[in-house]
Amino acid sequence: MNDDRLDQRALELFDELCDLPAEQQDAELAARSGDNAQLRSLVEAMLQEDRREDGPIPSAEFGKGADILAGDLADGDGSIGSMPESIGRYRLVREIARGGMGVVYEARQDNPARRVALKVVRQAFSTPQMLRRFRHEAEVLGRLDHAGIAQIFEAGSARLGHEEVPFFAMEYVDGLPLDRFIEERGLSTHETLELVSRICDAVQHAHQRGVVHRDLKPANILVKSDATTQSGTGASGLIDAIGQPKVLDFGVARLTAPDARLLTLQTQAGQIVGTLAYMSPEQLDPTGQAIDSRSDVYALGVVLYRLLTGRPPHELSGVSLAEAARRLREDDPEPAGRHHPAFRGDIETIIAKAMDKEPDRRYASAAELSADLRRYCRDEPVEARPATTLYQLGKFARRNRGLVAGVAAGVLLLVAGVISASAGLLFALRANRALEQTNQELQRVTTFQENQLLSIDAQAMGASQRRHILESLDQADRDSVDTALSSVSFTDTARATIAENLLEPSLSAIDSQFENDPKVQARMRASIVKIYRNMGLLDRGDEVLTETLDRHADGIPETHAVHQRLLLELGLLRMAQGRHDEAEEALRSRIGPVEALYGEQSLAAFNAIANVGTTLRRQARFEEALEMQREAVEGARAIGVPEADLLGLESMMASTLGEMGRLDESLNMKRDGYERRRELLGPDHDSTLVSMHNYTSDLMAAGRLEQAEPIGRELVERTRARHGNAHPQTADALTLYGDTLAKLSRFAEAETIQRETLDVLIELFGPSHPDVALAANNLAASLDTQGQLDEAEQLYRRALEINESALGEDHPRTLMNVGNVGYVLNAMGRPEDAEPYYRRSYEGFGRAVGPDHPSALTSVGNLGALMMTLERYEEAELYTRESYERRNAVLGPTHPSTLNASYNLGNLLLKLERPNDAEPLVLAALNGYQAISPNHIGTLHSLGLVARLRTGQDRLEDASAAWKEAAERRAAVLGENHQLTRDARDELSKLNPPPSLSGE
Amino acid sequence: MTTPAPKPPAETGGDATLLLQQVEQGDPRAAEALLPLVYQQLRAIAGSYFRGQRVDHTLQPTALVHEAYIKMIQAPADGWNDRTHFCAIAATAMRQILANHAEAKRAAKRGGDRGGARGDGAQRVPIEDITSPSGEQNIDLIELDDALRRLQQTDERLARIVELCFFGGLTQEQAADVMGVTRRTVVRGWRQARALLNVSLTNTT
Repeated sequence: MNDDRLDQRALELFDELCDLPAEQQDAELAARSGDNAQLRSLVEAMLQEDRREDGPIPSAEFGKGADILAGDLADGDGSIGSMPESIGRYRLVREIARGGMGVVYEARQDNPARRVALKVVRQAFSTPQMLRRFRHEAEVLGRLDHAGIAQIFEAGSARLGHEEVPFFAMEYVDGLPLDRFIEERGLSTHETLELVSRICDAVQHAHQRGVVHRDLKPANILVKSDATTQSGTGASGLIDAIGQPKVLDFGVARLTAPDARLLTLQTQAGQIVGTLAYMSPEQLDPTGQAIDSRSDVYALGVVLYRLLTGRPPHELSGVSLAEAARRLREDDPEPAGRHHPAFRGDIETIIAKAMDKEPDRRYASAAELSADLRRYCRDEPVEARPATTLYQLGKFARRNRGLVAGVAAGVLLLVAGVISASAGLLFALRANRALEQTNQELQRVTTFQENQLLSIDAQAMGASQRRHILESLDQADRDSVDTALSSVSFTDTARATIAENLLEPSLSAIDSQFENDPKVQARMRASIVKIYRNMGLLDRGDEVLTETLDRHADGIPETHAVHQRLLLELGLLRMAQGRHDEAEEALRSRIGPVEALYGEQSLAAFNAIANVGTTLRRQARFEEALEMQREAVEGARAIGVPEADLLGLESMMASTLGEMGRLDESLNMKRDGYERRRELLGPDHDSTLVSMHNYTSDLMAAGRLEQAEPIGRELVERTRARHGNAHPQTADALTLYGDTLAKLSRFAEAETIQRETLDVLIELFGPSHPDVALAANNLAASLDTQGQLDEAEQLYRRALEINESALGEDHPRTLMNVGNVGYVLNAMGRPEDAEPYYRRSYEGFGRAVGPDHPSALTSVGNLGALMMTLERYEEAELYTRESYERRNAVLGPTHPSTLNASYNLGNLLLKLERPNDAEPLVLAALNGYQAISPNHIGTLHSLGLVARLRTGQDRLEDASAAWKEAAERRAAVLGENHQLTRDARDELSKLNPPPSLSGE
Repeated sequence: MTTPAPKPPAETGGDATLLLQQVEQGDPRAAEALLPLVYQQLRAIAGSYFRGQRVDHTLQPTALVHEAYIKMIQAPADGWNDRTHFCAIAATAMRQILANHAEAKRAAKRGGDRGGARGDGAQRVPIEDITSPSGEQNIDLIELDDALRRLQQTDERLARIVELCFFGGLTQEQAADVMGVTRRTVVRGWRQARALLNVSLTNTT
């Protein structure tokens, strides 16, 4: 039987057997394959492959071939896979391995005559300095001389194609990767530990010479499969059995990426994943402490864990890079003893110590790890000790460093603020200082207290409350509690907590402490109102303010500063409540008295004027608003107010310009403001980050995506560094940046960021928050653009469910989700399933935002197109016509969207054989596109449509003229060989058959 | 929070867009004309992955095809829209790229070449596991090409299923749609093909 025939039979037999229960398969196979042993063993192997999900071609990873191919196509000079004759003084023999980072060849060197492994790094040197540095560091590596380290003979660069590429020549090791060696030899636990000790010795040798490996993993450690070369010198009989390990690529990670931590290395398609599991927390944290030899100790701990238990300490398959990094940083691996009782006690303690998240708590060196391993093997007490409870608690705090610190600091400062305010005042009062002095003291202390309270972020505090609750539970209870908690707004509970426990008691304290000093009392109550307003608790703020105004109506003259302060609070509170008339009245009434109090040319006066401008802007009275704000800014500039105050005034004016549509001016001012704030306060200050966020989002709104992108990226990095991962501001920054990338069509990058956003939001707010729905929707949009329709569908549906219950059925966001579910179903080739969603989106948008809203225009056009797909032409006509007519009315007849609708409708009518109805539409499309450009793709397309129109009207001469024009124009723009051109030529020759040769 | 991202934008397109529309309208010549364009684009993208031009942290299995799609095809707002056909063509293009690439590698592999799919016997010394996305499995492209050729001789339809799903990233439903067969046919075919290919690819290492 030849091979084809064999395969054919095997495929058939496999198909018959593969659904049978495994125990029947054998018997059936034996019966069916008869005495054809070849067939039988092939089918047996196939059935075995069928039972596992991985293998070279995994069962569910569609599209993986593309990546493998892309990875392999890698070639510096673009030529496909050709191996050069030689590189430097090495003659290449064969390719050993290749991947995204480079290619490894087996090569020969003549002098000295030896076999080397030549690794060509796929990274061109951009500067001679880089090359020099590379050579210098390679020299250091070359001095490593240890039986357990594959020696680097030379590092250099060679010209390949038109690029200068770096290469290393290193000792050729004929061996097996560590894990396979252990598996194939069936080494015992003791033997494995001895082998790892020997690796530790090699690593220690390098560490003593200042070289850190940075990428230790079983694949980088080969064991000579044949120990003959070692047998004479082996220190014990054991070595012969376990072989000599050789650590490869020492220091290479650093050499090829001198300044980068691994996460910022250029990575693609998951190259990093195989490495990630062995990376220490400090390697994953771009802002963390330096990587040193203890990072290698960590990796050795992971190697041990993996070799002994057969599993990675952290489950990372199938998770996003961000999630993987989070797990590695935060999750403690299961103790090794859980996998096998033999590892309980000393072994798991040794591994835990090597893998501690804090470098300081690990073994200080590879030698210490090796010593403990050998102690264990000799049954001596090991040095590693299990972690204590106190230490575990510390670990909890460390994992949540950002939050715990943030919340604790916030609360402490808050309490300190209240206490010091009171204490400071009492001190001042008791000391019976001059009234003037007391007032200044009071003001300072009040401001301090106010600032402390304002710095509390109720959202972040709520998020941490939620997290603390969940973390206090067993894993088993967590999920159910998480679901139960999903209806709770933790931001609200945090607000309530602050109000009940801090603000209300403060209020009573103020009232009793300052019973006899109404002005002090009023001023401090104003501070409390301000805090209520900032937390969004407007009703309570209103109550407190009204009471204060009533209480002091008689006691404080209207011209007094404290009364003006109360009026300011009143104006700002009314503005927040949307009662703009009252706000304007209160704020306008302040200008005169404030000028009288502080002078016309004072910051207070200019602030008072600018505030009125803000209420005007809120009322869309932009010209008036701008006038007042400009007066304030120019006045403040003229008298030289502090930079921070000037920036505040300018940003109000910039917002007004933006809302007026004067984008350039607005953007320039905002950029200027952002840059000066950064200069003044430093790049990581809260105010800087806020203005950075606003500037980025303004750039996006103005369509300046390229400009927005790098700032957005920096914003994410800085916000994360400042607030930690699980923080609302980090989520905001991630959302903004993900959006920017998606708008730039950088979908793969957007996806990564959006996944991270989703993770962070779920962690912060639970799984049922509308922000989570929005994040899921945006992620799905990036996924469906990349063709990952199944996951996109799930996410759109999840977003829809959340918003249906959180926002209601006809909320525009809900409808957006509805339309997107339909869109993805249609894209999956399920137009019937898509229909109800398209309809609901069409009808809902019509109700919710009116039929002329852009969203409604999109949804009606989509519905028409869907009907055409479903070949329901009457309805297709109905909706396509509606889409065309509305666009025509709303956007105007020359808008590209209208032209597209016009083309579609014309095309449809031609299909329905109604050329005369189609005519005006077809011509409108043609003329419209022609006005944009005669070479516009729409024009070239429309010319063909005109020709078909004429054919339909039996105006064959016109049809032929139109095809002729189409052919010429298409040929000019697209080339003669383009399919569109050829089509036009074909149609033309059908209409005008060439004259027969015989006729004279 | 920033604005949501509703779908879909953009109106016009390039050569590839027009050709793709024609593919969808059932014009087989359009697919032929589109193929070389897709081929070029795929090669260019694949090359750029490794010349320091990309800083993706993507774990995306079908990124290549979809990047090509995004680069070449501008999805219109209404009407004409189907990325499935594009992926189907890209799958063919990629199969060709694989064949050419494997050919070049065979040529380069002086001395080590026995030409056969099985029993090549070249000893592997893995230096680092950077080759495949999962970090677990390496596929030798020469072996893959050989195995696919054989499969094509045995059963062309199975080979096409592998092309569409493994290279083009089509789901089984989409593949069924493109090939004009039932989904069941694709599901079974994929299972058969995968089992056979995995046996070939595993046995040679």
